[in-house]
Amino acid sequence: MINEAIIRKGKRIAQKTFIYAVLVFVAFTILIPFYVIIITSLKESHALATHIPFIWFPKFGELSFRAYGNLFTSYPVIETGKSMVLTGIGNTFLIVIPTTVVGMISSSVSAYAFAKLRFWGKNFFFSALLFTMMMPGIVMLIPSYIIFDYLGLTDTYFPLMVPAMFGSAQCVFFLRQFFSGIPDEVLDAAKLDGVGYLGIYWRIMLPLSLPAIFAQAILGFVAGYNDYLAPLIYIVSEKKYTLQIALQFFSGGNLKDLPTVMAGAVMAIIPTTLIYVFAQRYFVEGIAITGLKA
Amino acid sequence: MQNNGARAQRAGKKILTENFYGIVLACIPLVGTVLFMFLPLVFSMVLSVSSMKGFNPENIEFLGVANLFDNYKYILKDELFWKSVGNTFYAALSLPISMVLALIVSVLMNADIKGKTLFRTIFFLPYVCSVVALTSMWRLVLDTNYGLLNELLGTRINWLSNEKTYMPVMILMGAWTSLGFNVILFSAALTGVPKTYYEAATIDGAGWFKRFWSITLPLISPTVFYLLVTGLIGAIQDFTRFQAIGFGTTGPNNAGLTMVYYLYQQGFTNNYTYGMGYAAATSWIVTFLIMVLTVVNFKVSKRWVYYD
Repeated sequence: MINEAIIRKGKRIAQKTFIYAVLVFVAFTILIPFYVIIITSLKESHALATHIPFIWFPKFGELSFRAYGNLFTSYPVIETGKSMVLTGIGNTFLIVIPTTVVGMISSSVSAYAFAKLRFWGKNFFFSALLFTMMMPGIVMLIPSYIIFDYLGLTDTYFPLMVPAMFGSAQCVFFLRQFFSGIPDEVLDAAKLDGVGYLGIYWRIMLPLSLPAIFAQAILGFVAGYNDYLAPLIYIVSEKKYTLQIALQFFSGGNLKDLPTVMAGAVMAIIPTTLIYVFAQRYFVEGIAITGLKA
Repeated sequence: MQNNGARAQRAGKKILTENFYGIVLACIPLVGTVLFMFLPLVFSMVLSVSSMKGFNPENIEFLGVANLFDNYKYILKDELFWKSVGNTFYAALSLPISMVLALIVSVLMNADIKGKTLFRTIFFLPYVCSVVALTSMWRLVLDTNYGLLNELLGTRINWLSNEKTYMPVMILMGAWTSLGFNVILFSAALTGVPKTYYEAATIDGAGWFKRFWSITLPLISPTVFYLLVTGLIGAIQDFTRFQAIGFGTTGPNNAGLTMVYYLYQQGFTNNYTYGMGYAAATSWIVTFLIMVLTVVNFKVSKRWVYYD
């Protein structure tokens, strides 16, 4: 009997050890490429550094921030003489922040209407919205470009900002689920107090659903920050480059200088990774809910 | 009576206001859809049966009823198009690889262990990184002299310059990037499987594989199906990482030319040789393919997906 208990306990320990071993192995597989770009970015930066040997643990004295200096000083924008990477960071925030804020307002008022108001054609409009979620974005790539180009809107931020400011179907869908969970009694009480429809949205729905809205705003911000294809197609002038386009242009011109290119990659990753680590609960919830219910 | 009439009037007015606000607020995203999706969509349809070189829509010429599908015919005869189709489905192999790995990881994480949040955070990390950062990272991992992969294998292979090795490493990169997303969805599904089912099965003497096969898999089959469909739709549109990793080149002997990359080249790089009509037609072929796959998936799923 005692033997059996020991065997069972031993089996359980072996099982857990195996589980941890596999998970730690996978975690390292994910993390090591990140580690490699970070140590590479901290190497002495030379113009011809493609053949620097691979070192897992460089000595502390060998580390240098010169690549980061390079990143911000070399390759200025021709028209302005300012650092291309810094210009890119500024432009990205200029584009992404207003777009995310306005887009969130559009999506959330729409979600509020679908969740709580009764109006003609509600089901039809909602089906129409769901249908747009299924349409692959790729069909719009060419015609949108031609139309924007014809209207003289290429090399402006219009195509990067205005369409997204109308909100997204995914976001409406997610927030509608959330808003539906807010009890009608709360709204009825407000109505009796003479609060209008917009007042209910502003004073009740919005404060009660800040975490959900925040979650969607974070996802929207990260997507906008990381966007590559749209600015690649629409933006021509260097001074209007977003960070991602600036970094890609920069890497292409500095391929021989690995530390500087990697410093660029680290720069591209830092803001989104920080946001993600601190707000990871929102990410996971947002994805688990929209993912499973879409 | 008068009182009633006033009340009815007030109620009517209230319904009108609610309708007004409802329609106006609900339709904001739909206005965007009409302007930036529906109009381009209609234009794209016209374009796909027209000829147009360059970007100026004033040069558009309708192909005529007799030659209506000439653009489509041309593309379906283009060897490069078929190569891009092959490449796309080859690259999509990262989907089953990532899903199987993610399922294993999620099942292990579903056990009573510590540090779940930390593991999940790490696995998902690549997903929040931009394609530019990821391709920079992988260019380094795959570097001939400095790369991690060669370091681990003890080789000096130039992975991205060889037609045979190009796609396998891109598949590896794809699986590495998407693992965390699949883990999150599988984990969410696994927590929904009642523990009592396993206990009952264990009492009946079912081993772990039997439990996985007859309890876990059927109960999470909606998630498996969902990930398969959305993953495949994503895989068909896989393009930016191929464009970014080679700075706008298509890989050795077009090994990295996916369907959407082919259409991008028609539209933006070679629009005078190909013309926008071809690009628009290609995008409709890609869309058609996505829709067919979605429908087939739904039909097939009825046989094996378990909905409660």
